[in-house]
Amino acid sequence: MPADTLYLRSIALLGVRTASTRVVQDFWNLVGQNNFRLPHGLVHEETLESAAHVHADMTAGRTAGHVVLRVREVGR
Amino acid sequence: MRAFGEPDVLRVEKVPRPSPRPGEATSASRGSGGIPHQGHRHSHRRPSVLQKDRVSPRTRRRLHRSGRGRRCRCRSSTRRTVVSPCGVHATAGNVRRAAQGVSTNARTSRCSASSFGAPTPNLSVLLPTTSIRCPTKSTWRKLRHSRPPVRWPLAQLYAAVVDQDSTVLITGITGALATTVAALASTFDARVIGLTRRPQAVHAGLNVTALDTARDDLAQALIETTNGKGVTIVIDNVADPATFDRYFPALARGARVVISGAIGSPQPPRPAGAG
Repeated sequence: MPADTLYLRSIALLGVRTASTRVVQDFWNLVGQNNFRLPHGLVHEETLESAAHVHADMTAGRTAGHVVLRVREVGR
Repeated sequence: MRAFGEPDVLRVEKVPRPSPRPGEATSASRGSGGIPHQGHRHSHRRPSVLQKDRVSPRTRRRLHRSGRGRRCRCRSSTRRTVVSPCGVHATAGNVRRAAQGVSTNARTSRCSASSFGAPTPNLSVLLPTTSIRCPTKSTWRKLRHSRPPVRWPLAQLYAAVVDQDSTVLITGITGALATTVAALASTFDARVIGLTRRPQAVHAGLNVTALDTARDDLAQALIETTNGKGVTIVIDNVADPATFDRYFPALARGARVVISGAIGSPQPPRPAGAG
């Protein structure tokens, strides 16, 4: 890590793991009220049975975007 | 002082007398800090936003007494603003908004720094285009209601302070989190550059400039993509040390690097006794 360069160029290095409640609420407000959506084609729906196959594809770097596994509950 | 290092880097040099370009003013600086950043601020080559609103209370009182300026009474900033005789003031926030073009009351100033009559180092350079008229109370009320505060709907964007002037570099752009971050950054009208080993797999609807992580001239490509300005924000979801070293030289001064993942880092050792 070039620590002196961080200082000389006023570069900030931050680690982010969690979000505040307000940020999470802002995200869902953006989805609910402003209709934020990912571009069409970035969310792929697969069956729950294909989880192993999807995981292998992700591990191999063959997927792009989101993969959603569809869960069907009994009686619904 | 043109380099960082031991005391022998200090040099006494004669420099040409600065001549202001159109729209600029010169002033006398009686002192300056010894660190390179402060020297740069007083070099008259680059106006600093922060430089313009650092007006000490003593300076404000002196201007008020002399009749050459008065304290601003608008609700936007009663503490840090000096109004020139022609009614134009500048604060860091207003200057930034005017420069970004998002301020509805941004307009060309009718005065320059010399109107303040204050040959202080802190008012050394004041571009006319970054001064705006003091809004009236009713105007400010309308502005306050018409412009909601910026809310960043993702922790990465919140930490990175993304705005429309940002050039955001996102690593692992084909990943699930990175695509969401890129799409959200686009809602702020930020320019997004994505790094990936598969540039051809980047979705066209993301409006992302995709670059191959593996290219040898990655830093140079980033500088060219940003028209020489450098990357101002990095959201690194991979944290690959090798990739970090490759994009780091392309960061602009004052850049923010947000690390929000570590899938590209070496796996930490397992604790003793772990299965």
